[in-house]
Amino acid sequence: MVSSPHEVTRLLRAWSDGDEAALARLAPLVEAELHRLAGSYLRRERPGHTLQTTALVNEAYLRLIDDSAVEWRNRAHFYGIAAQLMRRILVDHARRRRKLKRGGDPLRVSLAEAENAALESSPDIIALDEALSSLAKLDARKSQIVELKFFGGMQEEAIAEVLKISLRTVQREWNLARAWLYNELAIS
Amino acid sequence: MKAERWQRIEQLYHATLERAANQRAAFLAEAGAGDDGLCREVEELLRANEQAGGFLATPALEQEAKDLAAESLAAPVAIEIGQELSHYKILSRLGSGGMGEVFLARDSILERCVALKLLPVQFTQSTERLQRFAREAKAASALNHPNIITIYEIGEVVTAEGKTHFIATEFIEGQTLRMQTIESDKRLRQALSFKLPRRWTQLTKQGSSIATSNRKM
Repeated sequence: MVSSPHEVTRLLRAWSDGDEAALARLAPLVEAELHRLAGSYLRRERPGHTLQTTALVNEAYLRLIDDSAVEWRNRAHFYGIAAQLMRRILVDHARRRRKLKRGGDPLRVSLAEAENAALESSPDIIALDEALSSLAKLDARKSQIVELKFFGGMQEEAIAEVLKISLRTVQREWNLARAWLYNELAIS
Repeated sequence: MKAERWQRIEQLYHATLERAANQRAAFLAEAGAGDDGLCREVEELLRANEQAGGFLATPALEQEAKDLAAESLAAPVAIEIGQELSHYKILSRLGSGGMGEVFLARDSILERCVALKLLPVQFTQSTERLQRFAREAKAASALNHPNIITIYEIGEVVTAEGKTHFIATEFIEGQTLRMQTIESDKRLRQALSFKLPRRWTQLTKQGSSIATSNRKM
């Protein structure tokens, strides 16, 4: 299994050059991080340990998307590719999960579980992926900002730097894109 | 949608958002005068922005990992019928709940049937879950009433997945109340709906007085 960040960078580059086989080697790395995170949620001491969770997620993203081996002038391209890749792998993952769920027994949910689910209500990642593609046709940059932030796990400051726009612009565009997507998902 | 129109929506959206909340409607009506469609679209987006709350606040990787975690909790414990856990022999699966699965088992020492509730192995790594599990057992064992199940024992067993915790309780044969209400005729349901609250109040009164005295201690 590949683990060095340089190897991830190389695979990302190969994938962006059209090498689909690179994706097959990258997907297990993302999945390993997913399982590592899921395991830490199951073991977490108290529910709602937000700070700790955020740190874990950031670490996971750092292991996957490390730009230390990337030349400065290529960073925008690199992050763009990395976020696209995360999007593709995570959406595929969600699709597979949905398929498995449909095939299996209907879930019996206890009251406590239903409560937890309501607290952590999250958008349907597959529907979101489709809405984001519609947004790209309307406004490519907003769609990219969402891709970098939501799928790529990037901070707004880093997005501003990479896209060479002001932080304020990133925040304004994110705000409108989020409202637009929320509407799309609420209607569909 | 034409690019110019989208730009116009964007402009008006941000301009309106910059006003104080109680001035937005008036501002929008004035700024978008003559174009009802435009105003409506901006209004919709502003409303969405208000309702969106924590929408997209969690990165996709985190969200997917959380969904994965939630699913693995719903997965059944790998226990086989006939398997022996400590001095309990598993006879059948009775059901599952938020805190684990319940099996019908036979206690080979005291030679009686018990309901064995097993905590999912993943939970045993969480002290919070373990405390909750122990609390549940303690709370139930503090109550003594014919309508409340008796706790026999709590402890640890080793399963194929690892060490986990269990609660062994008295096993009462019969259907759950829900099954009964669904299956029985209307008259019985009516009778139950009349009698049940009275039995429940007796129960909860006793339960809450014990809980209160525990808190006082």
